[in-house]
Amino acid sequence: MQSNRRAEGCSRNRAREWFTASVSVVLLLSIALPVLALPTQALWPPSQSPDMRLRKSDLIGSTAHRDSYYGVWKYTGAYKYLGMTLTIWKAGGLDHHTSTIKVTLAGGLHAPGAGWGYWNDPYDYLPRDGQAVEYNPNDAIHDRDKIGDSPSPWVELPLTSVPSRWMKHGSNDAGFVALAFTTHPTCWRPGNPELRQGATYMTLSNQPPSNYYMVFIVYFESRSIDWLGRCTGGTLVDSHYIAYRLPTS
Amino acid sequence: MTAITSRTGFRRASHEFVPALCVLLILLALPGLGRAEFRPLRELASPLAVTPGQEVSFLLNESRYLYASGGGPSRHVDYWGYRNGTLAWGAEQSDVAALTFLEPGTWNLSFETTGAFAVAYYLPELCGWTISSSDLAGVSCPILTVSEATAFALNTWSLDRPYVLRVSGGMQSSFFDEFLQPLGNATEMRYDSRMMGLVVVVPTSGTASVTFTIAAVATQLDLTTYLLAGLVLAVLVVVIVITAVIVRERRAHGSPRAVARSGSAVRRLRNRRGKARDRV
Repeated sequence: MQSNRRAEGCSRNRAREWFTASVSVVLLLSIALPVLALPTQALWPPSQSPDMRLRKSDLIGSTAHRDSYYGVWKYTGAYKYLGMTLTIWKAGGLDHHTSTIKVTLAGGLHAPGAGWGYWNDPYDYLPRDGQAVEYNPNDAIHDRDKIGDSPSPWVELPLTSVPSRWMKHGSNDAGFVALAFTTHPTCWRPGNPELRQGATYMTLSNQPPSNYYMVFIVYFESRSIDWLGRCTGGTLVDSHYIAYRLPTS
Repeated sequence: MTAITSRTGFRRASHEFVPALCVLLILLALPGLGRAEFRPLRELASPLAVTPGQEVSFLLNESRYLYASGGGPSRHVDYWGYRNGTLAWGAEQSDVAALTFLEPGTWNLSFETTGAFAVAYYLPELCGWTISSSDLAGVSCPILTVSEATAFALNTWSLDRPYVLRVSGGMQSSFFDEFLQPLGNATEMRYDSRMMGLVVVVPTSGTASVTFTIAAVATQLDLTTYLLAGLVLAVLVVVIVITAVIVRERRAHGSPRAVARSGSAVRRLRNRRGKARDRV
């Protein structure tokens, strides 16, 4: 009998211990989870970088389905530039999106120069041809979403990946810069509503650009989505062209 | 000979005249600096509405930003900009809600459409809101000393969560949206998905010390996520505890199956004994 009582008391004590431990874990996780779940980046684009400065940004275009922006930054120590476009998806289904970034002369020909090169190109990790994995902001691969890593802390821009399967055409390291990021799904709704693209450019021999323009072209096709999630109605087509003369100072 | 001489004289005269004519034409082509209305920067802190043909000039002793808007998402403000008499940016500008870097100098803007513009500091730059700021909440700006009406531009296309921007000090503050439409006088403004527009600060007397702070807003989604996560975890823990207690009790008192098995064996034995008695 005594041994039975001891066994019962022991099991009750252990149950209490289990219960206490479990409640502690619940409380700790309840506090920690929201903190752990916080996104790692707060704003985009950056207001300030160690050695680049915003020179121009604008809303390229806005419709019921999306807003598109562009921005140009200049490196403070040399004739190096960064151009970006961002499309923020608001509604509808995407059929096509192309963002072109290039550097041209006044007449439209490619301006001499190059990108920062693949080996240290901050956009090197951007999806190239064959990219099959949609960008996931919670993939915990923080450094892949940031540029400005060694050796050149030129600028830090996170989340520069794109949220869909992209085809990248063109070159940014072969004597000129002309890139086109294209995706053409059918009635697609992005999981991450931000479609970001970028290109770097530096002049030949660090010469000041002579009437060079960074050109941004954003083209998209989209349709409305009905309550069943199907694309409906006519295709909304819109295109925008921006040419910004690269500053020399 | 005379004719030749006169021709030569004409040529000489024309050679002298052509450059002078060019200079005259260039001066005429430039927006008439004399006709431009000169504005001190304090008058360009709050957005100035402009009309076609209007010219505005101002002096910058340090670099700032021009915030220009046509007044709506698809409305452009078209203008030419001249810095120290030279055409800036190489061409006419056509902005929707643009922020443009201005170098020091005498600026002259000549507008061809209606719109509005302001000359501002870039607040995120002043505050050091870099990308390495993993969480804007708690990031404080240096205390800024303001002696006249001053504009601060915001230019964040995407926020990870809602934020509230607060401004405090001996001043009156007013907010403008990304298209430079007034949002009213306030000391704080909530931004849900992007942070655009202007904050204009006017010191109430002489010089004012102004502090900007930014804080994340707890959203309904956050609270719901928090509660759901807690509930799921609590249920899981209760299940684990109950299972653990049951397992331990079974170990302490023996397996119920074993007990059941032993019970059925006893019953079978009794049945056999009963049958044997009946036979006897």
